[in-house]
Amino acid sequence: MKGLLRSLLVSLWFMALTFPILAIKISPLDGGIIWRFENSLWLGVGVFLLSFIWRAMLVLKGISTPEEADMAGFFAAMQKPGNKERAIGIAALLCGPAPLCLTLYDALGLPEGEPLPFIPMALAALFALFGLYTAFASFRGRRQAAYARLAAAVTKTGEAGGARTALMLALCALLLPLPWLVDIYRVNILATAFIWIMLGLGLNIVVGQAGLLVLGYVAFYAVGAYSYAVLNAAFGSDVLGFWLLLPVGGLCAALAGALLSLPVLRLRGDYLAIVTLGFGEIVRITLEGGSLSLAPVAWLISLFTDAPLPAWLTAPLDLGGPAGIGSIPYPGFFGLKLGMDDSIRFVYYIALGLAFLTVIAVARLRDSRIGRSWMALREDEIACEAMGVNKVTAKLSAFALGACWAGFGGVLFAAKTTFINPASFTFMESALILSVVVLGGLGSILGVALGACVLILLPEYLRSFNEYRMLIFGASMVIMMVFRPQGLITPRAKKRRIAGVNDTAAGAGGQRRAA
Amino acid sequence: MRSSQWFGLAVACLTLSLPVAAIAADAIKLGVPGAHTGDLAGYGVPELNAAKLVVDKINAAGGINGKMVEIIAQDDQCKPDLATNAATKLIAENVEIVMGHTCSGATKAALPMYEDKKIVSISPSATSPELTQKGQFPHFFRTTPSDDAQARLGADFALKALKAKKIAILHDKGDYGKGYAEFVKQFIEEEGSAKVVFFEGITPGAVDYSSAVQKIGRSGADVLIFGGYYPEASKLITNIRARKMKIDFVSEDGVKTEAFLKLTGKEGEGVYASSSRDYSDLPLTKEAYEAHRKMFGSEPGQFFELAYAATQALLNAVAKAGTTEAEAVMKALRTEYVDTPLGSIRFDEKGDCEGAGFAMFKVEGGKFVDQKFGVE
Amino acid sequence: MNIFEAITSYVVEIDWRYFIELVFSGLTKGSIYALISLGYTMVYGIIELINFAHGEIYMIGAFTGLIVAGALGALGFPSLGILVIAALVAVIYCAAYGYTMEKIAYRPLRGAQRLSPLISAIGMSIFLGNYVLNAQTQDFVRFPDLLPPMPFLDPVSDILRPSSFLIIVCSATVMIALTLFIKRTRLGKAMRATAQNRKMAMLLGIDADRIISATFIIGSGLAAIGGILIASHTLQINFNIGFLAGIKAFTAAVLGGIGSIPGAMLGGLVLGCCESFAAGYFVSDYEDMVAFAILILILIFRPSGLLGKAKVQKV
Repeated sequence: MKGLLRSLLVSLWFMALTFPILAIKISPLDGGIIWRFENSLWLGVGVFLLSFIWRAMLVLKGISTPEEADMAGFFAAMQKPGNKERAIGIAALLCGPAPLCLTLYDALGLPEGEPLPFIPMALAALFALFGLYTAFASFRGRRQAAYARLAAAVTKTGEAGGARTALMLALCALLLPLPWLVDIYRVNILATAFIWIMLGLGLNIVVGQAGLLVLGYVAFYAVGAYSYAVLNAAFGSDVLGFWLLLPVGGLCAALAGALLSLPVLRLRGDYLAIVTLGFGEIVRITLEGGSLSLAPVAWLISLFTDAPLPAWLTAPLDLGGPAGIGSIPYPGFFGLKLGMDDSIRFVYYIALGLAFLTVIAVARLRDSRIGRSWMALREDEIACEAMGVNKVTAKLSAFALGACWAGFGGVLFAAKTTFINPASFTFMESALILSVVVLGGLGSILGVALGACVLILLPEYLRSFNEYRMLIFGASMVIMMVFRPQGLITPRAKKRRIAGVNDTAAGAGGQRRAA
Repeated sequence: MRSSQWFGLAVACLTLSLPVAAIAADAIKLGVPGAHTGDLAGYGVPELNAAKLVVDKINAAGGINGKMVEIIAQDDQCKPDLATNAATKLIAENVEIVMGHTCSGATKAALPMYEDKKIVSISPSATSPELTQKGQFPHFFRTTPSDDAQARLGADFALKALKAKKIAILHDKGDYGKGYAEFVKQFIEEEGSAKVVFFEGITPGAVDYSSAVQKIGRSGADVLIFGGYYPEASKLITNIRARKMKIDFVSEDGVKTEAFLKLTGKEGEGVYASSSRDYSDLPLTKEAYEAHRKMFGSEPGQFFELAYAATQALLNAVAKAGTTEAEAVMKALRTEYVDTPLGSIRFDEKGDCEGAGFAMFKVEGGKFVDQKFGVE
Repeated sequence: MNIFEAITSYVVEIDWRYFIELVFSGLTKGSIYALISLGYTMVYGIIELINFAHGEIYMIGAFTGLIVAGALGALGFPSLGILVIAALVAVIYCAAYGYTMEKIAYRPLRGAQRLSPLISAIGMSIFLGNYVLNAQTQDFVRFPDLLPPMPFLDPVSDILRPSSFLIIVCSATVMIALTLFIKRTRLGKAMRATAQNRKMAMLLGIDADRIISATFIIGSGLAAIGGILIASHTLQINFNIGFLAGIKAFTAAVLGGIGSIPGAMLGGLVLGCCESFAAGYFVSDYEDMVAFAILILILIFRPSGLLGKAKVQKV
């Protein structure tokens, strides 16, 4: 009863809160007031139902106790045998229609003329999310058992690494023929997702492993993309092809990263964040400005040599300004000219290959000496210095290596879209890459890969909602963080057992206390 | 990393990439990509609305050659990467004709794909000259004038009608605004009878433009030519009026909109803006406005007329050609005149609009009044 | 000519009138940044969270004000009355939004790793922006001109606009009031205590959750005042105005030393003036770039901002 009252209060609160924005509209025609009480009503009903689920989830996640959530009765009833299964059944029954509606809506397209009321649709989507999650959580026990069985079955064939190899092969078998099985749109967005995996993993080096919060990561992405586009436009694709410029782009970005890291060595935490944000903006404004002078570089070179400098070094580089740079060629395939479909498929394979390489490289880096020093830096800067880790080298290498992957991603991005302009490199993109890393699981390679897939493919999958897709996207980001703050996958700390010493390193990433 | 989780990743990828159910086959699919969310939604959504109105009208009259027209809207937020996603999505859904994209940048990214698939596209608002003038994209058409054509008019008007001696040029650092501003500067300098004393950009969305306005005042310019959209233009004009500066304000298509009049009120009086000729007295245009008010409860937004005309021209060409096959549609677009809110139009060889001449308007009494500049 | 003469001749050559104009336009911008950045800095001081959705609260404040003003305008209220009522309602609503946002998106994340609330905040910002886009309109709307005429400003009308005057005066008043509130009242003291050491404050019987809610409420209320003021200055709003202002305000907060209330005010004014001078004496294309470059320079030499206290690391 108390729970009902509370839900009612919550729903009234939200109705009041959203009243001016949702229920009143000043008519743009005559300045009169348009009342839209039906919106408020829909919202009230939706919030009333959602409030139960929200509180139940908070209890299930251990964030609040059943008493605090006014759901003691409900959870007591759940303890009785059989009730839990019944509840899951009812929940599935309630939530089931929502995805069904979505599928139907997707299949039938927009009904003629009438734009769908967005609140019911948004609620349906939220509902579906919650339903799926509830079902997911309830079967967790069984799911893990299934995994264990699967792993056991695979490991029987070989030693411990056998399972991974086998599953990697299975993954390859799935992803390799994919471009020939699905339509070109899906190939295209998957290629984007792979590029974002690279970006996420690159940022993960800086944020996840070295613990340096960077909010301007997109600047390095831009440096990569523009170095391909500009050099290609300046010299023509016959001289400098994609394959030559790919490492060049990565190198340019790494250079930019090292350059940025020098002034910020002293800064910590959020001061570092804002400086990198400023750096990102400076890069974007330079791109909008349209030209970049290499005169300082030319001057430096002229100090050492008397030889006449090439024209491209003394004249300002044309960056295209807001109009961008177009007609960037797709990656060359042994001199063959591919059609659009084949080019996109080819880009897909390059992106897949590069993402795969990135995963391996990042995993190796993490376990290397420098990777260890990043982690030490993240955990405690002072202790790390005291232990003899060179802070300057560690920070510099983290920035340079992290930026390097963004450069590769940028080159590939420019080759994929064949057109770039500063609009692709705003702060919003930086925020999204950071979200990929945190949402996936800070420091976890697989998590970041998963995060990239979710954040890139989710808005694409929500395309049928068109106007409402970013609304749902924002809401799902909040929901995912509230119920899974450590990210989709928690990185496992490596366990090293030394006889006589307690093993305390496990699970360091995901500890939290109930508030 | 756990091996089983890799498997989960693969499954997740696959699920998300599963094709959605196909759409009823016997309809003409009109793709409408554009900025439907994001900070430029104010330009993309009116275009989508215009397309919906035209399609509704045609479908109510029985469709085209017995087939209904179906709109497939795709959001690109004016970002090139999302534009390629939207374009491939339209291609995957077997769209036959396209009305979009909103921005030149997005259009440039998407056009190579439509070219490859021989899909005719027509943009209501992509103004970059190179889209048509380079001849790279023969399947591309547009109802909007290109930047240089409008810039020519703006420069001529400032020099001849306003007899400007010192001209300040301001732009919003965007594709559209800066392109226009650079052409204006070039034309004025070629003419030689006036001096460009100020050429700078402002950040759209910034809270205040006082410093730039003060600097313009200090430069002693007698005419300010602005390249950009109405929100910045109205901020500038309120600022100029509040300072009681004596300077004429000349701008383009992005400013000549009802929204500008609403935002500026009486302060907008005396502003010059160029645009396509005014045909708002035509019954057709009035009917389109009325339909918009009825369906969306608001006045039509920016680029509405251009998008309305674009959709009309495209669907008319399909009807005349009797097919959506590219060659036939292109031929019909180039030969058949169609009555639109822009007047009676067809397209030239390059894909630019013919018959929709431009005019310079002045805000007088809360309305845009044609100045009949350059009309013999 | 010795160096002294060179400097004096330069100083004489400076167009002082132009300089003052630029100072005023810098102050106008800076006051707005300062008002918004107060919310950032207060929240950060207490829970070390960069509340990215704060800019959207400012936008919602402006929209609520617009709707209330529209409704009252239809009823025929006098314009000054409308402005005051609209501002009051906007402050109350924004405070409620801030409170609700904290409860939904941040409170369950108390004690989670540091970056999770940040992502939640980015999600919230996207959500709120699109909520207003879908529920209201994607267009720019005119905000009614409700300012009373200020005849005493006529002699300087080409330097200082009435709306700028109002912005500077209101911001100054609000900031003084806030400083007094933080310094003198019980709640203010509790806030300072919680910011210094939350655990210790809780041990002394301060309800930290209540204090955090209060911080969000006050910060959001200040953002609403900023929203109304800037809307009556630019006379136009849309769903996206919060984004750029939010980023700038955040920059201002860090510039002044995040967590420090006088720092936020100083940071806002410094940032505003930097931008104004960059546009006035350099090129306005690059005003943001100059602002960020100055920010980076200042942080290199003062790594914890202008008024921030460098934390002593104890090992």
